[in-house]
Amino acid sequence: MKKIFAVALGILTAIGGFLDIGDIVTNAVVGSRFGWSLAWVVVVGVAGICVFAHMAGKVAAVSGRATFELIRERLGPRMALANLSASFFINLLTLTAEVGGIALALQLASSVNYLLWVPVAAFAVWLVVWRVGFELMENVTGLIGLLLIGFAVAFFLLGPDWGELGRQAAQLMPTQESPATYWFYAVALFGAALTPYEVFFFSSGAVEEGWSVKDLGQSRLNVLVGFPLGGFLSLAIAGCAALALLPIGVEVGTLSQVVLPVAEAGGTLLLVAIILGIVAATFGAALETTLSAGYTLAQFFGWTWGKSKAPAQAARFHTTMIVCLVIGLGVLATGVDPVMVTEVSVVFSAVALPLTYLPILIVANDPDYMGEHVNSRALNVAGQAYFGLILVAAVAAVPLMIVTGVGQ
Amino acid sequence: MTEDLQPARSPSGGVLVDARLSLLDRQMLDVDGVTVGVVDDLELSDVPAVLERGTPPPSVLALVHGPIVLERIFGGKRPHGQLLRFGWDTVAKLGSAVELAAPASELPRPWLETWLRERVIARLPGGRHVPG
Amino acid sequence: MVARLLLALAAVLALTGCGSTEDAAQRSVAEARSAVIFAHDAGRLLLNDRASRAYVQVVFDDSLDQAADAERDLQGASGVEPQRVATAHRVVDAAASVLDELTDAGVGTLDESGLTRLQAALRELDAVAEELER
Repeated sequence: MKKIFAVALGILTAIGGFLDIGDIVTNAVVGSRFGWSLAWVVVVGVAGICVFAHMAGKVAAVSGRATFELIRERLGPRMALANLSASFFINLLTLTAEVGGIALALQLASSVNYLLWVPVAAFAVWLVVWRVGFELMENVTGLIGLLLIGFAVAFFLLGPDWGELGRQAAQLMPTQESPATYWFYAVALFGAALTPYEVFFFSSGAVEEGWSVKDLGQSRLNVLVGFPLGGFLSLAIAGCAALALLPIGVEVGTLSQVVLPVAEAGGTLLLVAIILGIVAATFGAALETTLSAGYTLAQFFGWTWGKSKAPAQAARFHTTMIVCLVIGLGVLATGVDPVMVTEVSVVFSAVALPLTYLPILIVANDPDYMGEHVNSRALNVAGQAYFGLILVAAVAAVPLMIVTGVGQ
Repeated sequence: MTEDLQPARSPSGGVLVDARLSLLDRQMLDVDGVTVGVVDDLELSDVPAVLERGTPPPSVLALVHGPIVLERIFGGKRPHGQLLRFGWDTVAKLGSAVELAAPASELPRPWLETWLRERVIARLPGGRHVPG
Repeated sequence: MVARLLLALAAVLALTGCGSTEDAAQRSVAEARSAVIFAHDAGRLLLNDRASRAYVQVVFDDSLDQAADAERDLQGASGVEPQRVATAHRVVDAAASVLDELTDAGVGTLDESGLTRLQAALRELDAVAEELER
């Protein structure tokens, strides 16, 4: 009984923790402009993060080594430093977007300007990193994040026209938008589904929680059941926008627009539930990106790290996280639109993906680390196919961003 | 765990350990599994300028941790103020990390970690308590 | 080599990206239109007790920002085709000022007449959008 509970809890928190501000905003933007015609990217992206997270979790559980330790061991200090610089910068961008997302969601709940919520959000994130245990943190944000199921409820209440949605999903290129914009958002959605911090966090978290080979079953279940269900919510967000915003010509540019279909479908109660869900999801992701900032730097330089230690036992690790939160706070204080930061962060996530993905793929095949648990043939075929895809997305991302003026 | 490499304690054992693959850039863990550093460089026994026949081969004296890694990245020479030595005699096992036989309190510790701990982190409320 | 590939890719994309036929006047009218519809629909939900007042206030703030953006875009574009820009300016300004008044008054005071004014602004925007299309 206890075991079933633990398994269910793992899956539920994986669903609730899957979505972050990048997924929420990008899916709504895409739904309001392209309907479901980019739904295939969500499917491809979710399958990708399953392959990727499964490998990273397996490597961490079997070898006891987290992602950035491996990156330095495998690529050597020079390449790893270049990799660290890029990954760290993009993670910081994502961290900023998530903190901005918490503040925007709190603004929706209170109508108090989000700029006043930014310091509150950043302080709360720090407090949880500083004082709350790892499992409690994961379970609470994951379970409250499940309220985002409200998007699926709203989607069905809106009475989806399956024929129209199916037509959109089958039609690869809508005529009213330029191909460059279409492909720009394809890359953005891909980057939103496969953010690198998820892998830093997933693997380092596995080490923190002391996973071993016997935990692989649970890990596989969390990833293979939880993530696709999270991806289903992504489709629901895009679907809500496709049903309620696309027909009236409202293109999503603010978080308030993202949740309008929810209020339309379910009234105040569902609206409040969704706003709370967004607060929890962005808060969870802000925690994960903050920790990832500490993890990546500590693992490269060999500092003592770990959330389950007293902060004084990992002073440089905790100082890094404080500094990163202060930087994110400073960026948001300039008044830059957090939705814009989010859109840029998912594109750069796509750029950075090969940097984390390749070392994981290599180590997952190295018997020195993995013993008998090296990748199966099937996993390798999938892993290599995805590496090709990730490479194409990474190369195309910046040119597409420039040409389309960030999707304008 | 992973396939263990032989501990290369005996000089005549002739066990081949690829320094770049299995030593350099690996994490160093203390006896409790806590990360205490990463192998940034190796310290070898003295190699005379003129090698005569019969000169004994150099051996690894210590694992070195510190900013020397910047030399490996960018090249050039700079002064080595802050290098930490982990003597080879404390190495217990070479696996996916280098495991040392001593607790962290008996191993060298970087000044920055100590400074940040004493001056900043430990002074903030709750800084000395395990979260949870 | 990689840089050259990137450059070629960017050039191809730039060519395909130039298919858009909208000009600044049309874009601004569309943006103002989106802002007005958004505020109107949220206002309707509030009057029907289907959304919280805090949320709808944020919607009006955001709509006002969006309408102001549309006005700003027009100011930047006044050099080309002054006739079209002037036409667009008239309705976009009108929509922005309705939104401004309603937002300033606070959504707590919103009533049917407020929604009627938004509908009127929307009709004007629609008419001008059609005119600009020709």
